[in-house]
Amino acid sequence: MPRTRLMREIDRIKDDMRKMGILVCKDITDAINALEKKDVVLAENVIEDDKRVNKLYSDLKERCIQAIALHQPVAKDLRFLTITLDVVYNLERIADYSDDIAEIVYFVRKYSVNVDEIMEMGVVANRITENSYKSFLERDLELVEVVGRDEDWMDELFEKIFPILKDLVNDKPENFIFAMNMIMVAKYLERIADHAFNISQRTRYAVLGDTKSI
Amino acid sequence: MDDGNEIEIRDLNLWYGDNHALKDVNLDIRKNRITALIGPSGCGKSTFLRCINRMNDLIEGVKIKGEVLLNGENIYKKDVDVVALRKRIGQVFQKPNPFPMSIYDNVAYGPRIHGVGKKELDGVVEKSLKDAALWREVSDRLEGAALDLSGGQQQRLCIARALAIRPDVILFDEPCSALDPISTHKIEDLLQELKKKYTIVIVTHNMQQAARVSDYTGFFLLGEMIEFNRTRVLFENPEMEQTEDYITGRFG
Repeated sequence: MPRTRLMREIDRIKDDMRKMGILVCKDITDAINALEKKDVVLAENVIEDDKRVNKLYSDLKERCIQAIALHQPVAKDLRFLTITLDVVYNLERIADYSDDIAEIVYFVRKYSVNVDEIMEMGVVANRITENSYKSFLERDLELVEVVGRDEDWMDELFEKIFPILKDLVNDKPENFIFAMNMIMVAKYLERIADHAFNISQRTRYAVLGDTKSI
Repeated sequence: MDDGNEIEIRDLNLWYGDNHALKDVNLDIRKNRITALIGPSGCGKSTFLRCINRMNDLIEGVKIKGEVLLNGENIYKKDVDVVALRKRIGQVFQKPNPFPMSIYDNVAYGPRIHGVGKKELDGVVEKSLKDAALWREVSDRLEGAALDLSGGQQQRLCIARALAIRPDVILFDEPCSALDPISTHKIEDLLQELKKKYTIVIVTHNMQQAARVSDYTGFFLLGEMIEFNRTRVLFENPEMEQTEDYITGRFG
């Protein structure tokens, strides 16, 4: 009784999750580029993309529920499908933060200043998200460790942001609105890393069945 | 209550002529727990079940080595009274097999043989039918023919018949394979009640059923016990690759 239909469906879910992951990572990069260049058009693209991510999310969620209901999977198939529900939820939340960052571009478009550490946080956010969903799809526990290290690095960068922005405002009080918005951007990026870390922890359960990671 | 092991299987081997059907099986069956045995057709799970109440003794050319300890006592010892053993270990079969007699007489059959008097008999029949969750459906027609009952009711009658002789262990050999889903769920619910008083071993082809009803599951393949584990672990994160491949349908 080989369960070829279930296996085919799992393969299709993997393909679509990869597409969703690529899109989510592209949106992080685009949002940060839009912020750096104060590119409102690029920011609007990110906001538009969020709808595509939402659509992929609902579609994948529905297909996982259907596969569970119709095929009653067990063992690694069950772990894959239940954790996929978690992974796509976290990817969708990450895309929401890119959308939030893109919305901020409009409010800071007249400022010529940038904060290098926030740009670096953007790079880390992209890398940690890519590594997180890949760790799950490729059942790669080494990537899980890389995600853990990037999450620590993101926390360190976040802690640097507040004094940097304080100095920016002290030097030029007209940067106040910009700095307020950058605090929010930094917080969004730090939250992206938290969601990516969640994905990597679920990967541990999917691969090892380690229930402490659920 | 989990009071340790009811049955301990030690290095059990069985041959049908030259066919080595069970190979070095070792297993502890916990008291008041449901143990499910799964595996592809011909893997030895029903053969194994029949070893627990010596039903294989009836098959010609069978050779058995190893020990089956029921509460510490080897049931394959020479002086064991097999009839008394089967009183302690009841069995319910794949197809409901009520005797062609009344509902009452079906349940009373075993106790009568074992010398239960008329006075006690009514109470034993009522209690057994109640424990088998059938009393409410048949209490007004105990003298009616057992064969007039539906398939699901017939199977619960067979369970009542097994309970009437007050066994310690009940073996179920694919008890739901001939039943519709509603009757199946009734039997599954009943198993949860029965395990409070009895130790249960169930052979099933239906893995979802094993997952739903049992506390422990053993996976057999080609006469070997590949994995024995808590049911939740076996179906969520099996230790052996062969188990994983079988339960996820990657071979079979």
